[in-house]
Amino acid sequence: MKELTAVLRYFPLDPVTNPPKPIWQADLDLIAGETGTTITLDAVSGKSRTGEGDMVREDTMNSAIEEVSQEVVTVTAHDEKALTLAVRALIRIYRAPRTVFGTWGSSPHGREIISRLCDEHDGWY
Amino acid sequence: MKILGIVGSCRKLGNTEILVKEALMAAQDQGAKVDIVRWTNYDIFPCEGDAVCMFLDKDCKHKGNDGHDYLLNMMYEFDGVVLGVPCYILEVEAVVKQFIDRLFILSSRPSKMIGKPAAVIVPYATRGWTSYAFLQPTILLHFLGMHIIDKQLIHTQAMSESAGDPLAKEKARRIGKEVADAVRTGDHSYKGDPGICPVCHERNIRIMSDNQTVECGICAIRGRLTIVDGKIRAEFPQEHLAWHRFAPESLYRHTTYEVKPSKDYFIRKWPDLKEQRAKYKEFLDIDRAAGEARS
Repeated sequence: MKELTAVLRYFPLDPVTNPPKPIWQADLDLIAGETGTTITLDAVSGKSRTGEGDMVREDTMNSAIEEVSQEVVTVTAHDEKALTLAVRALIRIYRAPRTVFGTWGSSPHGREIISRLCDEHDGWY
Repeated sequence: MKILGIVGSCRKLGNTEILVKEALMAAQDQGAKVDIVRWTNYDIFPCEGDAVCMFLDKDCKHKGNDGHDYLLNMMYEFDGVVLGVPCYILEVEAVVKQFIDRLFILSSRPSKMIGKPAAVIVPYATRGWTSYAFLQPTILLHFLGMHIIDKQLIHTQAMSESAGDPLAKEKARRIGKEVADAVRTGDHSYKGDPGICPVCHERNIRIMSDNQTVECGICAIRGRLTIVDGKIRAEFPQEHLAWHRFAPESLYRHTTYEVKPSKDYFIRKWPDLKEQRAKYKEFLDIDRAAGEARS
């Protein structure tokens, strides 16, 4: 069966709109184990990023989406049901990616699943 | 000390104009130099969403063809603002929203009103029809980075009625004095109804779809409802308050991480979308239809 991929990109927003808890690989492994999926976490630090904490600065205007500072959660599954369960669990814990490009890199069907689940949770909870 | 009165009403010598002038008279009594402008005397064309101001750092295509750039730069010459705009059907006159939509320009040309005080006067006719009266004025002034120090609804209906209404004029004068005092002293503390949201002082609280979390729709701070002594309260984490939607750092991150990367997205999607949209060009001619309707 063809592999499905869902990519959820979380950018460094403010504390209110960021995922309400830090994203750890160990927590993702638990979800992956419960749903029969594979979930990876990649942290990207933008090339032009300066500053930490409350005063991050970064020129993102001419960057590729993948080069901007972000945390990328990638879910792979062999069936729709497993992917749906995993993405639903991720959105419940970390909220939905906020932008249309926040799912860039997903397979077409994976992206449809994310969009449907984001709508289900109003994009937030 | 210069204070600008902005009137968002077409009515000549109507209640909004009268009340803003009353506020400016009070500000003048405090030593302010005052001036007034009627926004509805100017065309403000709709934002066309081409985002050249944002992505290409270019002037808006409407610059010079309508009044937005002129009115924005006029505001920049003042230290404080009294904004008066009537409430019609639950909300204020549409000129405020038209002005807000063109403020995408601030993404490449930052506001020069940051940290300046402002107050809002909203005349209205019918109690119970003002649910969102302060929504657009609050968004406008916060987006410009201003500190709103007071907001007043003023109940008045007949043409120029407020000219003979001592209470209405007293409220307006208080607004004018407060703005002048705020400019002079630097004390921008909020003087109006405290409301529910501790940032914008509005009462328009959204219940999120988890049915547990509430959010101020304007400020995007989130918290919980509690009932204390039979009274509803919204409690927001203290650390969220500084990160409300219109705080400079929040706006920076929104622009940096939610807006600017979309340039790359648009470029990458365009080749496919160019083909996919072709059938919609062939299906009905929306612009021809509009032209026929006008003729």
